Amino acid sequence: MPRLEDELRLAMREETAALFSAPDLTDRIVRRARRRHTRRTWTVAVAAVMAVVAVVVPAVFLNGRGQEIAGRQTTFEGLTVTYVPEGVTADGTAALGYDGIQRRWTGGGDRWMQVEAVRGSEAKSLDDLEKVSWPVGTRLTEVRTTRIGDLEGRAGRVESAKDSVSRGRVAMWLIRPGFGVRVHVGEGLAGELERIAEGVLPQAPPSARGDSVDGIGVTHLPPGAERLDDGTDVGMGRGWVSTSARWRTGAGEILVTVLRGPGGAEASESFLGLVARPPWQVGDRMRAVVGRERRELLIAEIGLTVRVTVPSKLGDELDGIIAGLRLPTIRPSGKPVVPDEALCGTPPAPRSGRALSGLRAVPGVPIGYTPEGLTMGETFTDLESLTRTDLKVYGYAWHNGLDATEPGFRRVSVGVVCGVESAEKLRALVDGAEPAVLGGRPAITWLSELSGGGPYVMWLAGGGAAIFVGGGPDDAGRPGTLRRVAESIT
Amino acid sequence: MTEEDESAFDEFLAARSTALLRTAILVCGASQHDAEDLVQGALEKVYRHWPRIRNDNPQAYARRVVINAAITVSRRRKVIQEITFARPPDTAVPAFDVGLRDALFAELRRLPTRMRAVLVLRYWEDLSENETATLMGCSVGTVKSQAARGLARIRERMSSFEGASA
Repeated sequence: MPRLEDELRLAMREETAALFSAPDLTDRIVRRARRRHTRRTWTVAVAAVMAVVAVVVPAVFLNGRGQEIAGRQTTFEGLTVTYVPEGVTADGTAALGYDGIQRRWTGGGDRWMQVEAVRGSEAKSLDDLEKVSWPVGTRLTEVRTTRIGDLEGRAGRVESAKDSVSRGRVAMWLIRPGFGVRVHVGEGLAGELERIAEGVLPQAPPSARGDSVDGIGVTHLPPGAERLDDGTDVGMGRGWVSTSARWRTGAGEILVTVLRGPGGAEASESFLGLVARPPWQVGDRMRAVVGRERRELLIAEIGLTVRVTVPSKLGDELDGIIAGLRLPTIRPSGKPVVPDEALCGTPPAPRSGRALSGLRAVPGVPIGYTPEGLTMGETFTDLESLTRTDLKVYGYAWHNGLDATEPGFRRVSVGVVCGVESAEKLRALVDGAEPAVLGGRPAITWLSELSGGGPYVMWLAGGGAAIFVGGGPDDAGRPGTLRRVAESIT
Repeated sequence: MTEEDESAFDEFLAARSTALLRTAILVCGASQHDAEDLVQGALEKVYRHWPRIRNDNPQAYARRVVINAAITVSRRRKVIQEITFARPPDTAVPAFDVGLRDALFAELRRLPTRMRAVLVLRYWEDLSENETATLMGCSVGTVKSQAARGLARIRERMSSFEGASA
């Protein structure tokens, strides 16, 4: 009979066999270690300079709060944006930003601004908030400490790593640990950064009757439900922060958990209590019976997930509690979103409907169907089949954990290519591609020998973006997978 | 850092980074993405001290940094999970098609963090009791007792699992 120690050894080996460190690990380590060293040096130098300058010139961010402009306030993600410069208008709805959820405003040329709400461990401290997941080839320089109203913050300049061309100015601060704000403006609005930043305020609590959890109103509870005195618990993870509150009833406790941040939808799968990975539709409500409890998970909006747990005896109350939730309303502007050339990669806004979000989503591409049996894999920023190398590509892939050389390897990728404005450009993107039509839009299909041998389909999505879906070799025999993924996007 | 240092660091990473990643994921139970972040952060620390440690068993130093980081992450995850659930999470019922090794690995992940780290170091990294104690900063006796208790817990749970499914 085999020894337990040997079985354990084999189990560990089996579990980790498909794991390999990334080929660029050394580069990333060296780059980050050097950048931190540079930042430390800068901070010391800037502090010394500011100490001298402060005597002569008032510091940049020491003024009062910006003027509130009635009728132009925008509320999203627990933030209210009270000041937007004249001539600058909302551009699309809330979408995934660098690390959180952002809204964007444009006024032509380099007069643009975006406000990003960052949740979870990425906003645990100012140091964490400063580690922005910039698009490839972009970096933050000239970082200095500053004040946004009464709060300490950081400000700096964003530039292209290649040629130091400016990509705008940024200011960032924490509203509280786990909830940070970044305001990024184009050079055309650099002089307005202070006023815009000071006009971004935490959203006022809901006015609805009843209780609330992290800004979400809970207006329907069974008679006699009593909120427990130990109040609200807050937890933080990568890309999400959760806030829970409990109520005591005669039949047991009711728990409402609000998960905010792009990682929330991903994290909430396990919070639902379904560990065995059942087939379930991401981006939709899901109900489960776990032990003696009934749970409902509601992905209410990009970056906002709510879980309600009631004791089995109160199962009939679940619908009422869900219906009584008061969620923030985000009104689409109706204006088409044009990817900004300066940032190249600003995603198109999600279409109507709920989008898969977080670590399993291409920013701005609302994927409503997750390939069954596959889990989230790597991100990538190029597509080898393309004839042009100057176009920005953002993609995510799912796979089944096997090595690409192993039989049974499966991989499905989804991504967006920026800078494809016409059907002619689309058709010229891949050598030997067949023209096609998908959902009434111009499309191309091809088989890639470079990316696992699977079929690809790419179509014009508007706003200068083309979206593609590709499969690994084993998915060649499963055209249904790609079709379902593509249909869930178009 | 000299060019020779840089090149030695490259070689070290090429030889050890995958093993460190695997150790980290076994100890902290995080996703691959989080484990990569953890290992990258830990190896930045190794890089910063590289000229000093490169001739003094860098492998042991890197392993210690990664294990400590993994233990910290694992504890944080546990705290977050407890807070989020506001009560202990329900125990998942193993699916019928879960293999013995999957079940075994699931039981390993249910152990307390340091106990799990001891088992990983002893049976995955194949370290001796002495080496494990040095790395964990505890006595050899503690390593022995943690390993024995960990195995006993797994054995007990596995026998009840097998008994239940029989």
